[in-house]
Amino acid sequence: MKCMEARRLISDYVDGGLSGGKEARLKKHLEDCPDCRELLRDFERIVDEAKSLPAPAPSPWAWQRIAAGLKDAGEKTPAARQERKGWFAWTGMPAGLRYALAAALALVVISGGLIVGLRPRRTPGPESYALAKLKEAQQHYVLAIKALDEAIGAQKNGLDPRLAEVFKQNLQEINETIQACEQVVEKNPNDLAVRAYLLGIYKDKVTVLEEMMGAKKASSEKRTGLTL
Amino acid sequence: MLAALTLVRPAGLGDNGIRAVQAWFVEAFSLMSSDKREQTKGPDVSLSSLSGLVERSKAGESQAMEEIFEHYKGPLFSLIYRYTNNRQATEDLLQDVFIKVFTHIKDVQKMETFVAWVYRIALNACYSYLRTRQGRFRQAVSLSEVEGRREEAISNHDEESLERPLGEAIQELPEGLKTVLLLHDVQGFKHEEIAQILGFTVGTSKSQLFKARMRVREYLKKKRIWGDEKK
Repeated sequence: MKCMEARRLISDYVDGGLSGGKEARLKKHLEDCPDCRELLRDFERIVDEAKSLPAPAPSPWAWQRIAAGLKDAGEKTPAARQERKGWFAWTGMPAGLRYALAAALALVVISGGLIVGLRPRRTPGPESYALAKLKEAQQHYVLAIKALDEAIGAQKNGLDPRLAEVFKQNLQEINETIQACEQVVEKNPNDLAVRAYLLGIYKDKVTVLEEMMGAKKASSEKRTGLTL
Repeated sequence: MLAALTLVRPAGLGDNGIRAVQAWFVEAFSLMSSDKREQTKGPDVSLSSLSGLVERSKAGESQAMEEIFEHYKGPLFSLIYRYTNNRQATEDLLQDVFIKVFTHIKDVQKMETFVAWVYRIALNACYSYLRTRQGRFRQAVSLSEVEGRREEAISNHDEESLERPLGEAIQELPEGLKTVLLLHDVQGFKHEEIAQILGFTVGTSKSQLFKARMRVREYLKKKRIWGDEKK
């Protein structure tokens, strides 16, 4: 066997993919060829090390972003647009008449809304109820974050610098996302999806802060254990 | 560059009918559990449960979509990160990939090729990112600056660990070779699976892997990470 052929087989051999006959021929060649033995050793090292390369993980709020993106994409799909513009298509009327019908219906709906809205003891609709609950939850999270911040500040022991850096970076990313999201909420205060998304990020921040507090506590207990 | 780009055909959204239809493809994920690639390789999910999740996702069930995402987020994030080398860009691309997957999931007909289809969407997103980024990159930073930073990074590496130089060597590979090496050596796919994802033959996959490993080896030797010791 020549080196050219052996080199090709070495790659398969490393993966355990050689048939008995080829493997025996390759092994015989390797006995006599230091260059091919070196190639085999290098390939084995590459394969071993590649398996152990670090695998970064996505952020905890990755799904919330995708869910929000899906909602947005759903609203932009041709099918959704067709569904929206096709409301009066079933009537078979010319476009002008369809708009007139839509305008008349809109007037009825607006008038109905005004009448209902002006009633002295109106009950809130499901959307306004959800909005109120989201606002309430938002306040709850803001208070929880503030309390956690204060509790962490009051903990005397510090963290391992590398761990502290990880927490710092995570919190920085979360804070930036919160800031961006709050701006969107400010522009669209009645958008339930955006508010729900913001809550998800607040929740993530609470989780990170809780983990940070736990890590500080563990670090403190470890030190106490060492001194005893 | 052109040759590398032609290795992967467009994802063909709306048609996941990739050549071979074999149940082993998804089931093979569960067989790849004996090495250290727990974080990067495909998840341990059976074809029947995946099929159930896909059907529920087709019906618009958000919970099912989230479960699919949970199964594949790790391996796909890890794969995409190897192309972007940038966390934020990887997050963005991961989002794009899953939005594409779920907005076209109604077109999935052959469950056996679902995973390959998802990976092809992810890889095409990576190639697209690299093409746009490389254009901007050339304008923004001179090559000598980049080379300087790379030399510095390599000279500071831990003598015992190949992790950093190997990552650098993989970064340097042409797209086509990089894809095969990442899928096989890092993610733990078999040649048959890679052939299905990339739409070429098993022989081509083996040949590309050999070339990729040779390039990595040359890089490590050139950068004096490895000597020329013969035993």
